[in-house]
Amino acid sequence: MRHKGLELMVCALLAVPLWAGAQGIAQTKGDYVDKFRQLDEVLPTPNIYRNAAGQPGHEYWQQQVDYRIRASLDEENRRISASATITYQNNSPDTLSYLWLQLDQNRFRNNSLSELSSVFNSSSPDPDSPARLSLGQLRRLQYMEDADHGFEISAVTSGGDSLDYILVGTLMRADLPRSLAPGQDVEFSIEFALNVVDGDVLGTRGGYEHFPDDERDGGNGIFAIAQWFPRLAAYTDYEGWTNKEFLGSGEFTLEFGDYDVELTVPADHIVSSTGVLQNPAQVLTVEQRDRLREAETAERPVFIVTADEALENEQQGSPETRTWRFTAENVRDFAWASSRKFIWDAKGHQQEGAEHELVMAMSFYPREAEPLWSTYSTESVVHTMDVYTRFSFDYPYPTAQSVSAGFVGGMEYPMITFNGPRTTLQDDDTRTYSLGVKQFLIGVVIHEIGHIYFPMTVNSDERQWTWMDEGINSYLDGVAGREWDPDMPWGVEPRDITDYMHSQNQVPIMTQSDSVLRLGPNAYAKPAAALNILRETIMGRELFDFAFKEYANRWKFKRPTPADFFRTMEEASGVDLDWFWRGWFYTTDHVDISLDRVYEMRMDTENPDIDYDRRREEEKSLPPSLFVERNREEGLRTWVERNPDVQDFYDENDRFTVTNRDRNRYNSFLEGLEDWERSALDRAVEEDRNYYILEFSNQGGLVMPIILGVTYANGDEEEIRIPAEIWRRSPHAVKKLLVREQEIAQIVVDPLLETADTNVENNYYPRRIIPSRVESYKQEQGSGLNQRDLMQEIKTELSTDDDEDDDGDDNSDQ
Amino acid sequence: MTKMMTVMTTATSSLSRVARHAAHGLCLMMCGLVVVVSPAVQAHQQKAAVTRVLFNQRTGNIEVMHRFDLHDAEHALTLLFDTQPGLMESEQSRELFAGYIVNRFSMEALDGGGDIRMPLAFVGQEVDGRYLWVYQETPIPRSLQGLTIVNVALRDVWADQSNLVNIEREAELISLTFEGDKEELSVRFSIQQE
Repeated sequence: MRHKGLELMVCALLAVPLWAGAQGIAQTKGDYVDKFRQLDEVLPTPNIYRNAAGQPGHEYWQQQVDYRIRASLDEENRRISASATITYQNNSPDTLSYLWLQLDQNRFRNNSLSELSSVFNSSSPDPDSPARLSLGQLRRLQYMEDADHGFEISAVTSGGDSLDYILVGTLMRADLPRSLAPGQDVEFSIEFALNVVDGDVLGTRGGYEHFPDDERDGGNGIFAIAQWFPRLAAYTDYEGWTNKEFLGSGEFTLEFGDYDVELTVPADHIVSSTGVLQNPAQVLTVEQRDRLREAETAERPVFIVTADEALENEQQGSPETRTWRFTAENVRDFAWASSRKFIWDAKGHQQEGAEHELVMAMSFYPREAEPLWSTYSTESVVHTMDVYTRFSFDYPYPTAQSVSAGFVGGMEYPMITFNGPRTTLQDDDTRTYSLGVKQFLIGVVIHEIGHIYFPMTVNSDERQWTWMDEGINSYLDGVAGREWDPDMPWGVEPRDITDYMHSQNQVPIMTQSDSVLRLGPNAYAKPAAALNILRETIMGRELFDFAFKEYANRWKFKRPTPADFFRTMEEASGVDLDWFWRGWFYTTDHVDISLDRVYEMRMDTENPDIDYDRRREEEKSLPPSLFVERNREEGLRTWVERNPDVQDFYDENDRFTVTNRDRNRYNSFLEGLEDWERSALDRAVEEDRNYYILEFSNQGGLVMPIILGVTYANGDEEEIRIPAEIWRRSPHAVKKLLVREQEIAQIVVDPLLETADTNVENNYYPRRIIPSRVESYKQEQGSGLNQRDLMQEIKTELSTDDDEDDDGDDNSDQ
Repeated sequence: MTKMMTVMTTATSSLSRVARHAAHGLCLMMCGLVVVVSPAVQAHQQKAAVTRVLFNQRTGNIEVMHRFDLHDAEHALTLLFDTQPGLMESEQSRELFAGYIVNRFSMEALDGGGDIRMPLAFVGQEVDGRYLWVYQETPIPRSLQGLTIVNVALRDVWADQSNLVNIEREAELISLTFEGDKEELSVRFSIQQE
């Protein structure tokens, strides 16, 4: 037994170096690190569902789930009652004995995992005084105590029989009466109700927003309803059931399916929803329908409900109800919004040759969002489709909507998005907005509509890999933003993420969503910057755009994983990117390439009549001995100077004097050369170029191309792009030889700041002082035009001689 | 002169004496104004700021450079101070925001004789691209064994605000992340500068 124990111990010890060897990146001998090792062991093995080229495999499958839902909104009680009939089609090769459903609203129960595991964030800055509870936190506590949230499930039936089910936090397992074999489907129904959460209090993705000051008794609400029905959890080839509890951060992945949804709401409400309205004659006026037709071909958005009509609407109220029926095909979720406050505008977006040649871009917003929304919301929706379509595929649905929900920054669902920015009411009853809010609205609409492509159509798993939708979408919203107005700052520039990438507390991008530290930079900014760098610096636009479009089309209406993305980008472009994925997505290395030294050299001609002369000149160019100089300054006369009459041969000839012996040796050297050697030497002697050896070191660990901006002594400039593969055999330090006719005066690494190099100071040769931001700010202070309060200063009246006050402050904004 | 540093971080659930000076007065003022938005992730907001604490031997100062996403800053400004003109066009709004930030950030020098509060002078603020920058500075102390930093910027606006601080001293970099219950963190430099 003792022996066995010993063996086990030895095995365990051996396992570490064996594993390291299998990984093959860092070796147990020497300091070589294989930054270019292929991702063989890292990516999942290709199979019949996902192949080695990054395509859906020949046996690719995904489930199909169709829903018929009848729901009614009780505005007074802010409550939804509904019944759903669900058809589950098992396309997997597996037999299923139960189904898992997501009940996200259960997160708002007082005993939910999300609530119980939340930590108290005291905002008290003083340890000697009691912990401080803000009024907002207090309001949330009181709300949670009073409220009754989560799904109330009253019946789960199939074919008239009750189904057994169990609730597990935000999940429900429904046990099937008979196992569901591959290729079979099952239909079952759920009766449910839920109280809509207060979005302002909980800051949720969906909920109601209350406008207590509206004229109507009790005020008005905007209902933005999402994650509101029991949704089938995805069953996948890579994870089985994706039944990980919803904690509030990691978002979703769901199955595609067809929806037929009837929404019964107060008769004066306007409803915006995933899908296409099926009964306009019953819920819209003739005039509204005419306006919708007019909007289909309009140059600018057309009001379907004007501001005046919405104002009139919101002052009244109706005891009646109306039922709006929407259908949606091949969507992975379904959300809607309802309010009597909605102004509604629409504009048709034409896509020639697409499955949906006409897409209705529409916006729904209260007067509190004007005049910003009618100017920019729908136009931003159309612009997003224009740009994203060029980079991926035609917009895949018949409608694209932007709904104003004040409690949401921005949130996406198929065909419908909720967006937050609004305007500010001024004392003179006008509503205004800042440049920042304008940019925020355009930016957030682009981002959220962009999500309808990724991940609503390219159905990546948000709960596993947030970067696959947020990172890819942040990259593309930057593309679309820069095409909107390049004078506004959009997108993620590589230099924006250097502080984050340089920092110590981080995890690789390839980390499961719930374990990601600092989700913003990790899942949005870093992958967006990485894709930007791939496109602009490493692959080039032509190769990147082709491969990216290939990825989007391969996985449109399917379920890609990171490996599918990595493989497709390589396969379609022919560019080995394993080193890039490994460095940027699987490590926390950063970019810091240092140009440590530059050696300048001139080639020896071997001809003593030339080379000896050059050496004599070189010696003369050295500074004289300080010792000798000081002797001379002191008036000291040397022995040679005092005895000029004593001379010999060496006073006429120095050690660089050429003799025939040297010339004979040179001639026999030339005679010994092959013809090609002779001509190479002759040419080099004739051209007499400058030879530079550049020594680089990799301080950050991430291998990247070395981009050089070279300035020559005559003022000429040159850009040299050395591919990242220069580091493949020597990941820590490399040398590069440059042979140039002109003499080099300066070399700068990454002159256009395109690689996210975190330390610019070691990029210059010769070195230069790089002022810090504080130093630059102090130098520029007073001259910066962008520091002016232009909106305020524009009101300043021109001073006259009579004016005593000359600083313009007499016109202060109140 | 080679600096080997080891990092020792300590988290406390409340702010120490450092912040008392900086934030106490403000707290009383803010209680009535602050609306805490709960920690739901909203798809567009970052709620993540970065601060560079740079030991600049050229100027002899520790330079503190806070970077906030403009959207976050503007949203926070409206929650904190009600209606204000935007940060991009209003110097007054930027100063107001900067004033709030400098009251939520403080540093204390750890040296042999005890902890000494470091008065941070406000240098200025500016908008650069998508970001609002706020600058502070203080002279580099003659002897310094470490730093204690309190950073509660925007933590009273969004409970899930995350503030990254990179301390750059000579060739070394130490990162501190202020989020969750971490409001005060310390670093200790193991070999001292002479």
